[in-house]
Amino acid sequence: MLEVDSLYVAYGPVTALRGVSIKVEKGSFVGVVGPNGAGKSTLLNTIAGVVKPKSGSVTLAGSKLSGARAEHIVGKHLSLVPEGRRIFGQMTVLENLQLGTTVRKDREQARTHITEMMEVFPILGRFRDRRAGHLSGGEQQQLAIARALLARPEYLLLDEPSAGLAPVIVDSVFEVLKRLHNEGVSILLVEQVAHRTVETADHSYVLQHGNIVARGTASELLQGGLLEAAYLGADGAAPEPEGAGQA
Amino acid sequence: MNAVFQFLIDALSLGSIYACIALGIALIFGVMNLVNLAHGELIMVTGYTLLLTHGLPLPLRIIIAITAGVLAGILMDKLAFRFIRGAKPATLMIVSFGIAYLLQNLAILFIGSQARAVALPSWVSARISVGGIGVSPLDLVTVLVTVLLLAGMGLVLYRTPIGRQMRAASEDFTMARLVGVKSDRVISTAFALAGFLAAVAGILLIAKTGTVTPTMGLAPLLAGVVATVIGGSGNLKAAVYGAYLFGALTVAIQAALPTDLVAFRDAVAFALVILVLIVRPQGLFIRRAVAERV
Ligand SMILES: Nc1ncnc2c1ncn2[C@@H]1O[C@H](COP(=O)(O)OP(=O)(O)OP(=O)(O)O)[C@@H](O)[C@H]1O
Ligand SMILES: [Mg+2]
Repeated sequence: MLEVDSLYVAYGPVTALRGVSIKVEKGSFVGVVGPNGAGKSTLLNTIAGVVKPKSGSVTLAGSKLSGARAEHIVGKHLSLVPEGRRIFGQMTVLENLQLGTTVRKDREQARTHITEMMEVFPILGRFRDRRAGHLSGGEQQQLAIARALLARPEYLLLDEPSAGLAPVIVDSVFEVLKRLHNEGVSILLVEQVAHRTVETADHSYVLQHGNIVARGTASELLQGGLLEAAYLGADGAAPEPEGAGQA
Repeated sequence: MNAVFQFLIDALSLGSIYACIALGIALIFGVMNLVNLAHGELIMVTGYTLLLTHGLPLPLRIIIAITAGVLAGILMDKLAFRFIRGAKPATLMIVSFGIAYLLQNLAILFIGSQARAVALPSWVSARISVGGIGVSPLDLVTVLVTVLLLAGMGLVLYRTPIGRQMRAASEDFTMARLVGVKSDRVISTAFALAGFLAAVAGILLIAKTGTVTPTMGLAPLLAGVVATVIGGSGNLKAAVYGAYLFGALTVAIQAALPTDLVAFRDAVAFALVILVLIVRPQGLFIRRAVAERV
């Protein structure tokens, strides 16, 4: 299980997370939704070790992650597909995939795994020697996901993978995530497209102004109108002071 | 014919030396956003090692001097830059200036501020005739060694996992860490390679001039920085192209200027560089139109 406990994160004077606690059970699909600036990316970046928390802890299967460096955390089977995909645009598709296997010791199997990835995402096989920066947005997203999967994560964190993609491409991204979930990968998905995320995930959290303001299954969040409230609350109205809506 | 050939050899040999320096500067700039103003002191350390090992057989002196250059590179990182990882580029640059100044003063303190002659075999300054064309064996050695060295660097950077990791780190350091690239390891490797390149370039430069001084690193540093900037900063290949271009430009200006103005060769070269940058601020070998899609 991946457990985030009372995480406080600040960028200088800006506090981005104010005591956030979430849990991702092994094998589950967890969503985090919330308006712009809520702290969603900060949450994922802190778990992945790119941002250091002020206080609070992140534990993975009982061992502490907070304080560890990003390059070590990925070796513990937790991978982040960051906001904006961040593929290595000057390098080829194949090189991007090879970089995905950096933490692996089983070089031979890693090579086979790259070949498999190019079958799962045929576009990557077709364009393996192209510069990754020349791929379309949807193709780059597939590359970013494939690159993360090559570290063989048990926990896959994704930050707005559907941002900027055409609706049919968004469909295929969600298909990929569902398939990975069925294959046993635990997923923590951050998205702006709230309804879809909440409906796809087993369980979701609503983040607003650095606080978790609601949590629950799709029906709990949608029926209670908690989702809408969170998004409306972000527009001027005072944020919910208490920690959780349906905790 | 003879003049053209001489121009080509001069341009190639100067360009190759600049390329070794520029590639080292670009490597370090790529992995840690540092314009290392102490890069020239890697050359200086190599030069003084060559001076102090006189009496030993030349191949051994060269090996020791190159080792000293590599170690100086690694130590710069381990003793200084490691403690200010992630600092602002301006802070990093000021620290590197401090290191340069410190090393120059150590050289003055322990060896003296005046130029010292480095004893080298006589063939270094000889001229031979190849098919009626006079060439210096040193120029031929310079071109051969640097071209082999740059090709070797190309193999390391483009054909090995650590090279791939260094290129990834230069493109997006945080993302490289997220896929598991060990930041300290790529930075150390970049410093070691930069030290190696600077040491080889330094030895070839000293073979040309025959002397070492505490500030001998300054001119090569400037040439290297200019080459990376006109090529396009942050891009390794562009830095190498920039170096060859700047080398050719310098040699051409030297040939074109009347004898009493040759002393102003570098001033004219830098003025041309400024002009180039006004027209193409991103560098000559970077296509701005190819924006990476995010
Ligand atoms: N590097 C940074 N320096 C300073 N402030 C930052 C930094 N990154 C984020 N912030 C601030 O922290 C808060 C949370 O940002 P974060 O990026 O986590 O939000 P988000 O929920 O991911 O937003 P979006 O949906 O727009 O991606 C915002 O107020 C943002 O301005
Ligand atoms: Mg975000």
